[in-house]
Amino acid sequence: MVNIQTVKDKRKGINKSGYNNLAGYAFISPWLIGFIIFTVFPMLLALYFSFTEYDVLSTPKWIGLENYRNMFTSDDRFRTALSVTFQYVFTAIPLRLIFALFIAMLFVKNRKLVPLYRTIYYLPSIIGGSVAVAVMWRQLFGADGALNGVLSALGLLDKQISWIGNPDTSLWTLILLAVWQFGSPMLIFLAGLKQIPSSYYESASIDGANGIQQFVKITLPMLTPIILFNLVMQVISGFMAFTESYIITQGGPFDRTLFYALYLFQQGFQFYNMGYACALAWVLLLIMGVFTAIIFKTSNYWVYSESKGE
Amino acid sequence: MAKKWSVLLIAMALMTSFALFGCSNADDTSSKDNASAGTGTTDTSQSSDNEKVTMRITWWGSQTRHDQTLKVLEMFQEKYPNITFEPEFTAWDGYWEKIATEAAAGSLPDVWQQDYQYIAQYANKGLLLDMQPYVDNGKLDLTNVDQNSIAGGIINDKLYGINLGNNSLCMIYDPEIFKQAGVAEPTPDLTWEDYVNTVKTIHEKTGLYGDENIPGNYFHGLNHYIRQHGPEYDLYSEDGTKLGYDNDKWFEEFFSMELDLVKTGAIPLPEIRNEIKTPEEGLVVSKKAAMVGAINSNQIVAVANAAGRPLKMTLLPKAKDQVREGQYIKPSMFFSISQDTKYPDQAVAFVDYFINDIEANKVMMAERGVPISSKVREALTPSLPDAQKQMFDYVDLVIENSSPIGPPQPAGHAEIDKLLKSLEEQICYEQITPADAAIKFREEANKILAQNAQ
Amino acid sequence: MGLRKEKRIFTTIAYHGFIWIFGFFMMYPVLWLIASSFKDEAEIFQKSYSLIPSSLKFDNYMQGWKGFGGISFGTFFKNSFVIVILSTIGQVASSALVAYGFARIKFVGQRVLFACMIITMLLPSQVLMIPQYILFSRLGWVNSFRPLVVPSYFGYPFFIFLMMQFMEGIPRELDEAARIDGCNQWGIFFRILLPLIRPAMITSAIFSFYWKWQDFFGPLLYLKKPNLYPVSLALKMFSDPAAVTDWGAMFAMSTLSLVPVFIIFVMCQKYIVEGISTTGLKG
Repeated sequence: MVNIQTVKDKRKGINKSGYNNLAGYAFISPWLIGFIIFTVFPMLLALYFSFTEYDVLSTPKWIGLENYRNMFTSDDRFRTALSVTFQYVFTAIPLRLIFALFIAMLFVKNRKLVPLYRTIYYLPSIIGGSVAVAVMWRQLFGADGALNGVLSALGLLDKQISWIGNPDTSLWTLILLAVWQFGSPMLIFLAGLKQIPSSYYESASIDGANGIQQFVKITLPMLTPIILFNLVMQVISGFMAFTESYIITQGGPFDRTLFYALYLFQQGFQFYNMGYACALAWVLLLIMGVFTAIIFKTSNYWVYSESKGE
Repeated sequence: MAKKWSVLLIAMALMTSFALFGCSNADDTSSKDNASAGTGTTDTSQSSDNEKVTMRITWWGSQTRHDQTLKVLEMFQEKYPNITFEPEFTAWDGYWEKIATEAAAGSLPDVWQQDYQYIAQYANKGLLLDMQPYVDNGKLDLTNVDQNSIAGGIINDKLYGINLGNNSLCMIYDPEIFKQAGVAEPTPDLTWEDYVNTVKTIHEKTGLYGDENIPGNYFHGLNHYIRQHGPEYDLYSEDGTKLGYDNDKWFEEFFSMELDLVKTGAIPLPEIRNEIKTPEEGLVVSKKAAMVGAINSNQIVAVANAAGRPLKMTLLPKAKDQVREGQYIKPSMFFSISQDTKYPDQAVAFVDYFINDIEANKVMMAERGVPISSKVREALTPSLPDAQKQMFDYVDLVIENSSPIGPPQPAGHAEIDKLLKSLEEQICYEQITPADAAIKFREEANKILAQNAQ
Repeated sequence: MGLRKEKRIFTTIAYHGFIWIFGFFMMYPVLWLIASSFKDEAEIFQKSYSLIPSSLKFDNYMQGWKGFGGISFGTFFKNSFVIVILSTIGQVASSALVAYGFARIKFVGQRVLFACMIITMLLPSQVLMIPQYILFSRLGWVNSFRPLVVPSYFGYPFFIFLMMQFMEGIPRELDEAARIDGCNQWGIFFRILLPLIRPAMITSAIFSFYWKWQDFFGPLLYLKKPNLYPVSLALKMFSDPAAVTDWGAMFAMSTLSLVPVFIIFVMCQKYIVEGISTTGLKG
């Protein structure tokens, strides 16, 4: 962990640890207080529910590890949801990040028209969760959608197919939707790229480094804290992906787009198995915890920190 | 040092949360006790008729429904100036999540719109008020209502929901396409064999889909088919702890028929049907199909509006050797009153007004289905627009060709519905045979029902 | 010389050409939405993917603006603005404070607390809905904006982490220098770091605004009176699976609901890219 590494570093000059403790807690106090009031209680309650049979309508009944046992022994949909989610995370997220970084690189220089371009490429991300997106995606990839319109005009379509509803393609349209909405990591990359002091590039130019060399020697290393951030957050958001399948496919056809978070929601709010849903949530937390921990652990080797002070 | 801090912190957090949860738990149980103690009794001492009361009322629906219901609330409040309603209206999307959350926190609205899928679940947990005592003491007037229209709201001999409109499944078809294909229009005596021939012929002659969907869709269609094979059969058993039919052959027959129709192209693949989210996106509206075989009768209004041309309604197919009618009258939705309401009398007065008042029903024009009171029906008949008139006539036709409604959908229904839909789709894409699906459905559905019955 | 110039023109054309081709795919759905908002009912579904409405009518906007049950979209927009602006200010300000604490000050329990913060991001929000609702209803906050706004003032892990990563890019020598000049921690935060992480704060503000603007489940649970509904909730009310949807009105209001988010982005993006590179900072 970058930050923790920083903390671990015994820095000279700071030995007024009492003052620092006080200042540290003062600065983080908003979060700490909020954490205790608004988060710890609901989280612990959710943990407690995960050991109960809780149908939302009556008081929870303690059943120990039963929910967890069912999940791993007899729940096929749990396995389906996991595999769909892994497919999604391992395809959509890398594509989205690469795309976001690539486009951000194109848009970092303040040339003419670039502000307009940035806006155009950010547009998809601001319609993401709206009701309109479901209708829109159907207009594009439905049986009567624009894609089929183009294909049939080219004579490539032999029968009506709904790309959203077909079991072989539905997950891919959702992945495409996710990649298409690369605006938020792009924006973060842009901000990160802009933070790299231009003097670095100037001196590299003087040394005769070309574009690719500059990218590898300066841009990438300087951007690693931001890459780390985007990687961690996108992996988390990938595992928790919900809205797309909730409003577009509802997990169908036959669970081909059953995202983990959607399954959890179905169990909790549609089947009224809130206890089971909470157990699912904690298992997801553990899975994501492992991934995040791996990313953070390896980050020591690839994240460059300006503030480490070599 | 770091450890000590974190231990302290976690301890603090635990304390806070258990303090909060502790009291929430205690409250929950005490309200439960009240609920069970108060069941069936009417506590009139709490509220006199002149007391000013404010109540919450919730429903889901469309813009039309919101406007009409608000108008009716206004009219009611003019009549009962001491009662104020705080209306909370939303879309269907999210409605049940909101209700479930409120139930968990013990803050359900006083009066709320209820659905047939959920009523048993909420009633069995003691969250709904039994209205039978109010019928008995005359505060809720059901004298002009026939028993069939009330039956859907009765669970374990208690009346937990008042039906707001009669509905039944129907098939809506475009007579013009039938004429083009040279096929006779369906009669009420249409059998499954006739149906299959009809849709196949239409498809061959016109290239259109014969039907948008299998009649009744995967769930109600199967239920309909099963019901036709014996008075004791239904998809769910009477007590809702297992499936209510014993012969997997019916499942197999029903879905083999669907598979056959899908393979010939007479009805579309699920991927095409799943894109239809609202009536106006339907294939009949866009003239891609001759018929829509899985739709509730009150939706004729929406479909006819969207199509802008004359459409007709007919009954779902009968079985050649049928033992009883599969068709039944279904409550479109209910009003339920929460067990915890402080003002049961006033809430009942509103429900009574809502189903019996002629002026109020003239505002709503059977938007929630055919009104259950015969007096209201008579009063509305002369002024009905065409589509509503069709709906009234259709429900009359169903009454002649129906059997009583089956048991309410038990806890676990939502999960079984998902399971069946998934199996249906796998059948259509030939991932599983109808015979294997029948066995799998029985196994898994019974497991879900048993789990929920505990 | 000429060759080099030709090459430059070629790259410029390739650059802009590439961006416009892809840009069309980026824009198409949005343009489609806007076009649909001007189409009448029949046209929306018949010539569905056409981007040019046959006429420019504002009927859908007039119809949609009326809202539901006598509450117009004016009210819904006002509610959205109140919730979103208050939350955004809270989230950005509190997150910056906390980020500084975690990134720049060494204190006891820091590792554990940072890990706690990351963990809170890992639990799916769906299972927290009921416990949080119980909490807020016990506080008596239901039917007010408080459950949606107040927690924003206690930091938001995503933004905290984001700002921490930006602080990583700022040399510690600056802190030291300021300390020597007599700044205390507050001074270092406020005078040195805060101006330097402005791009991160602006980015956070854009996200915060957008996320709060389109939040559906929060308002659904906590705001019961329709006159408190924000736009996100109101938009869902156009469509009912059993009734005719006024698609035109829905698209019109959807389009309108994107306008504030769009404006915020356009206004803010230039601050993101102005960034600190203009301040000529040296490591």
